[in-house]
Amino acid sequence: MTEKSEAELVAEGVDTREWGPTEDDEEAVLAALYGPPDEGGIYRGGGEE
Amino acid sequence: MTAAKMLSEARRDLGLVGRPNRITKDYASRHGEVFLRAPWCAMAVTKWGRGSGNASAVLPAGDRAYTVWFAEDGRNLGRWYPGTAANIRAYAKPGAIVFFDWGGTDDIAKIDHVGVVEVNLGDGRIQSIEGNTGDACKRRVRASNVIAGFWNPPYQSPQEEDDVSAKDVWTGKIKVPYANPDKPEWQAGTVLTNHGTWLRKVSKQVDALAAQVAAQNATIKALADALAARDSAVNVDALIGRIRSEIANVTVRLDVAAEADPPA
Repeated sequence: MTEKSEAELVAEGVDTREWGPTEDDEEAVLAALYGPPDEGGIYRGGGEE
Repeated sequence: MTAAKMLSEARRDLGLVGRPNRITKDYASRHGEVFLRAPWCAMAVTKWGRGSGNASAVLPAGDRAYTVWFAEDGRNLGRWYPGTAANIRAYAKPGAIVFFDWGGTDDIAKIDHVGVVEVNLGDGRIQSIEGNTGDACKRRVRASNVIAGFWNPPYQSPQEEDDVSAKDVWTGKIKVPYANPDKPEWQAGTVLTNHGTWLRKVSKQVDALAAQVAAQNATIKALADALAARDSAVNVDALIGRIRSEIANVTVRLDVAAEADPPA
């Protein structure tokens, strides 16, 4: 049996269900940590020295 | 090479959307165009590890796009923790590589997705940064019901990163104002060695000048004594005082540069 390449394994087994369940309070937690999201819904900031 | 730098690198990709993107292009540049449009969660962690100087800690077996292999790398290091709430609470550090199975098992073979822990929320959950979550790079909040497991790469502590060895200092390059313009930077050790040699030369010359001055003083004293012996009107002490005063007003230039500059 031929071993599959990494590319084949990725195509078959990685992120086939992309979103995955997140927590009900995800937005509240992220907003508490980083403030409101930008227009694209991305929570930025954090990590300031 | 710290977890903080790993996370800083990950934050730079927040908001990245779609593919191909800079993460898949980076991976494809080394492993082939087949990865340009492939699922890119593990490629993201690979890029963050490399980009933050943490490749040896995050990628012990090299680049990873396949999440299962990536998890196995941590298990092979003996660093794997199954994704129980208790393990997450106790051991999931910022910078940990966290793996997800949407089917809810802790089975490495069934891992679907990967990200990096940014914050341990302390309640058995973590806040992560993930590539390819909805084909974007975003922060997420995840719990043990989808966390298959995680491993903490052997990052350096900030203190370790600040430690610089004596050898690093000795071999480090510094700019030297008197150097040849073609080679303006020298190793610090070379500069120190040359300056030591130069200072010893200068010290010898200063000693020689001091001896010369002492000999001249003795000669002046002898001359004054001889004059006094011939002419009792000569005040020896006053004469020596005048001569010393004249010498003190002379500016002595210690011209050693041409001979004693450190060699270029």
